[in-house]
Amino acid sequence: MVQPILQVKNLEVEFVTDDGIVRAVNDISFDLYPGETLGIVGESGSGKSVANLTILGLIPQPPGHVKGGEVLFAEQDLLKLSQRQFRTIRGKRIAMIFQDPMTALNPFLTIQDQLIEVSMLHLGHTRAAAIQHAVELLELVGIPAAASRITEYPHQFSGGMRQRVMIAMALSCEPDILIADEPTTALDVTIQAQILDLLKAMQDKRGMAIIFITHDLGVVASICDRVLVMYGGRKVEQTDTKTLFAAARHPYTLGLLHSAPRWDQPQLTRLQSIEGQPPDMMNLPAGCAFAPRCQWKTDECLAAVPELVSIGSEFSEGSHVFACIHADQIQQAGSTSREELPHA
Amino acid sequence: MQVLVFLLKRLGWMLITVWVVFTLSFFLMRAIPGGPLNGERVLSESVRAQLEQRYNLDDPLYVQYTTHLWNTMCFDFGPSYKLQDFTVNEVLAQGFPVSAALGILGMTFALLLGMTAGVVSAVRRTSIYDFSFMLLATLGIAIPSFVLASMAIVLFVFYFQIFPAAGWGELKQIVLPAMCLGAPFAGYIARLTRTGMLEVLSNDYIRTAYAKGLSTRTVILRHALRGSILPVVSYLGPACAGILTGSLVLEKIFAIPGMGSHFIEAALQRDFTLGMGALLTYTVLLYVMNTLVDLSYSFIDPRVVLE
Ligand SMILES: Nc1ncnc2c1ncn2[C@@H]1O[C@H](COP(=O)(O)OP(=O)(O)O)[C@@H](O)[C@H]1O
Ligand SMILES: [Mg+2]
Repeated sequence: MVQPILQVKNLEVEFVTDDGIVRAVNDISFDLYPGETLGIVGESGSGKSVANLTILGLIPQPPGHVKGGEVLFAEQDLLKLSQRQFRTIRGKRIAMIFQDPMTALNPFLTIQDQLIEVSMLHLGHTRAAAIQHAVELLELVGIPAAASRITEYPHQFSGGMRQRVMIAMALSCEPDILIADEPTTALDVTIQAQILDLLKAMQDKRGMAIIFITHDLGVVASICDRVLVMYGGRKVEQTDTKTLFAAARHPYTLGLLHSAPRWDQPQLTRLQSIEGQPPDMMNLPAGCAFAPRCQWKTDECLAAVPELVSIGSEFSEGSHVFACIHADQIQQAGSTSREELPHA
Repeated sequence: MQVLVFLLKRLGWMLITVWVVFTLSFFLMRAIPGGPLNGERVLSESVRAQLEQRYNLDDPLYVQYTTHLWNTMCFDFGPSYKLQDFTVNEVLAQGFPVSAALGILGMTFALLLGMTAGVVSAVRRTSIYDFSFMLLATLGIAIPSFVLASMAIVLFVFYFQIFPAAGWGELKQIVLPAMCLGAPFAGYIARLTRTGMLEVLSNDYIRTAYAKGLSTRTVILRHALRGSILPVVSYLGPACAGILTGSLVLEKIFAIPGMGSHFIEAALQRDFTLGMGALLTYTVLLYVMNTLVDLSYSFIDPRVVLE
């Protein structure tokens, strides 16, 4: 049995603001195994970024505040580390890339300055060795004429090239885990595909585990081994990618599936958006957060937050976890809708 | 190359500006009632005629203008009307370095104090440091420099007896006036730095820097400082003008033999040549300062293109 490389247990994060308490992450748990890609999916505002920034100790405090939970990595709870200890993990063993490569690089410093500081800090490189290392990394991520372009500034690079630089920077110390927070969202579709290919290639070469945050199920299908679906700061479903697409058991996941174009379905399928608004994270309902938007909702749904239920997966040896008391009905609806195209 | 073209262009514009300033002030000085020879003493006709001849005041206006312009272009501002036996060049050569020293010291003080306070306030936002520095900054801006100077004199000269009250020449004598001169600018710079730093710290690239494992110190000094001093840099142009006018007052209070007293007296006594000399020196100085500001802007921010 392979041991998970990272275990997040019952993580709770909130923001204390003037308007009230934003409960951004509620009781999130997941394991990450070496070499796999775990997708985290959910609408904007569902707490994906906050959960992952917390793993690296990067949420602004205040207003942020970790209320509870553990993040186990290398036999220690990261949430208990001092800032000094944390710095030996960040960028070295767990690296992160962000959504917007236009703003994630410092516009005042050359690419070289931004790349070499990582390996000089963590690998004890001399300046010359760090530059050598940086050029190799840039070549690895596919930047042409890397040796001469390295002294340029971020604004002289295109969006896709900048994201490649970010990836090179993140891979600098061969981390065990790469957290990619919507790394393709801000890019053109063709560039998106290139970046995904690059990440896959890097994972094959380096064997790191990836947490891939996205709201795009198409991206999930092409890169993730397993998927965790978040709604209102909670985990509502988690399983392997194949099971998720074939037998989703949470109405929110089903809604996401229906709202994304699928290459494996006839062009006739009409895309449906999920009606209603995402929940107000300051006033989460007592029951299921998705209930107000759910066509299967009953009084029972409004009474209490549904427990996470775990069953074996139908399509792989893994498990399937979901938080819906009408899960069976929904799976049924999911499979019929694929054949009969209701509501079309 | 780009820098050279930029500097040449600026030089051209500066010459035009200086000429416009020269022309405007030449005619304005003569348009207001009273001339250099209307003093308290009533001059006899013959003396007046003699003096007028000496200073070319008897020539037609356009001749006066062209001669004066030509001389000015040769960096010769002529004899001072009031400080007899001195040329304007001599007066400037003596007063300007004094004022410049005072201004540079005041500005250095303002930059050191203001930027440190601003950075600390931003990084430790809402702490006691932030609160005290911003209170001090507001006071520094709000209190007029002559009031500040009087308070400083009472405190440090009479009460603690650390510094001499006035005069020029020793380092001890420069400290008080330079600090009084710099105080409002320090306050303003502190605020600008704080705002700039807070804005920069909210940028994504700061989060990237932390995600690399860099220490707070490195993030602030290497990643945040450059962006956050841009507002301060663009403020330096106007600040330089402010320092000049500010020093007019302080030089009087602290009895410092700088340009300030000459400038005020030249204006009051219709000393056309000295007034013109001081004015043109200030114009050139401000122009040079603003050019330097633009230049350093482009050095700090690689996205800025010089034009
Ligand atoms: N610095 C902050 N202060 C207050 N609220 C925040 C802050 N950062 C995030 N939040 C809130 O936390 C919730 C989750 O945000 P986030 O994790 O960024 O969502 P996403 O799933 O789009 O990445 C949102 O409701 C957001 O408003
Ligand atoms: Mg996000």
